[in-house]
Amino acid sequence: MEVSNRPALAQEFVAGVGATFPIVNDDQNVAKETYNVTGTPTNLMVDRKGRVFFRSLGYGPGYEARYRAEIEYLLTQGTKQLELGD
Amino acid sequence: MDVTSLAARAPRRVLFPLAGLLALGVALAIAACGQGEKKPDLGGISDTTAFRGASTLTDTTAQIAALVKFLDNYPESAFRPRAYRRLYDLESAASPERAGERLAKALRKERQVAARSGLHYLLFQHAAAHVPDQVEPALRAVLADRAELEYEVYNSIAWELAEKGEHLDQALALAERSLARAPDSLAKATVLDTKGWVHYKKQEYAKAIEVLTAAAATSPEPYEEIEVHLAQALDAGSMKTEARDAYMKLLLTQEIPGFRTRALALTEELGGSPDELARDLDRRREERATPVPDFALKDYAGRDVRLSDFRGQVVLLNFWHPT
Repeated sequence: MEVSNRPALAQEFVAGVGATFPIVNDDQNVAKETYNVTGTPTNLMVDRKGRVFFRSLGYGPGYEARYRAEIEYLLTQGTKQLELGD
Repeated sequence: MDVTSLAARAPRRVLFPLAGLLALGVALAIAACGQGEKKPDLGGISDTTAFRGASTLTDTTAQIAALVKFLDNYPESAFRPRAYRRLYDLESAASPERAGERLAKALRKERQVAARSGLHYLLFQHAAAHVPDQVEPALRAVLADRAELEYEVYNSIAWELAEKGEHLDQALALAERSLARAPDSLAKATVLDTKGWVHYKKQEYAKAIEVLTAAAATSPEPYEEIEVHLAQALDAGSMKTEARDAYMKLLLTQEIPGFRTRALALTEELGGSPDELARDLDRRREERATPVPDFALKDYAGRDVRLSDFRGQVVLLNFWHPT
């Protein structure tokens, strides 16, 4: 979700990173308003059932490890839910 | 980014409020530095233009020369700390020794407080990276400087020393100095967090708990990093029930590496059931989770992307902007 309202600059960056995940342009502030984003970076994590389990604003040392731990938790929980049949 | 990285610890978290996004670039730098120099000194060229011009030169030697000239010509400019940082980065790539000498020489005559603060920080980082036996003198120089340096610099250095577990007595002195200058309660809370973490690293757990508790009470808003540190201090200080509860509180909002394991282990030591605690945690996280609204936007190739396309998968939504 690129929220700068500067699509040309973002386009250049997006072309450079070669991401394997979708990068969308939010220059009309649609997602920004939908998710009440007040600053960057904002990160939301959604589980397999479409629920927000995690939200953070800002960045500090060690945050990658936390993101990884949270993703692993959500993946494990999802597997548990599938095994339980719900 | 130069500005925030110069004083890495205040604000601790790198964060760009969206209100300022429309006028990023130089405007961001100016906002972060305070005011740009108002009067254009040389032939009508403002310091903003001069700094921009110097720092966008592609030839390294030309850029170094232009930055040196900029520093000579604009003694009041808010860009001075950035100019020193850039100069150091450029020169240290070829010769850290020469880059370090330039910093030391600049510090002898620099008058601007922000620039002196930046130079001290760079000298500390330079010593830590290249000349370890100069760390001690660099720290003494920071503490002996009669200029009232910016509180962020004392705090950032104290924090880095705490993280490394080195020169902890000086780290404590730096944190005290920072605390005396911290301008508001959020800044004070950040510095108290540093101070508490230094005590933790000194294995003074009772003192760490006391200071980190004060940090949490001082902060005008919930401050997660303080809670993260306090939980670990309580654990190290064998305050088992309090530590378990502190870990649990954090685990309700996110997984933090190692915290779940410690919370379960403490529960067992306290005679409780780890399995029950784990189930309770999962249940409470589910209760707090909220349904995510969908969006439909286009990617940079013009393809439609909807969040609902990814139903059944774990999704990370990252909001970012280029600088």
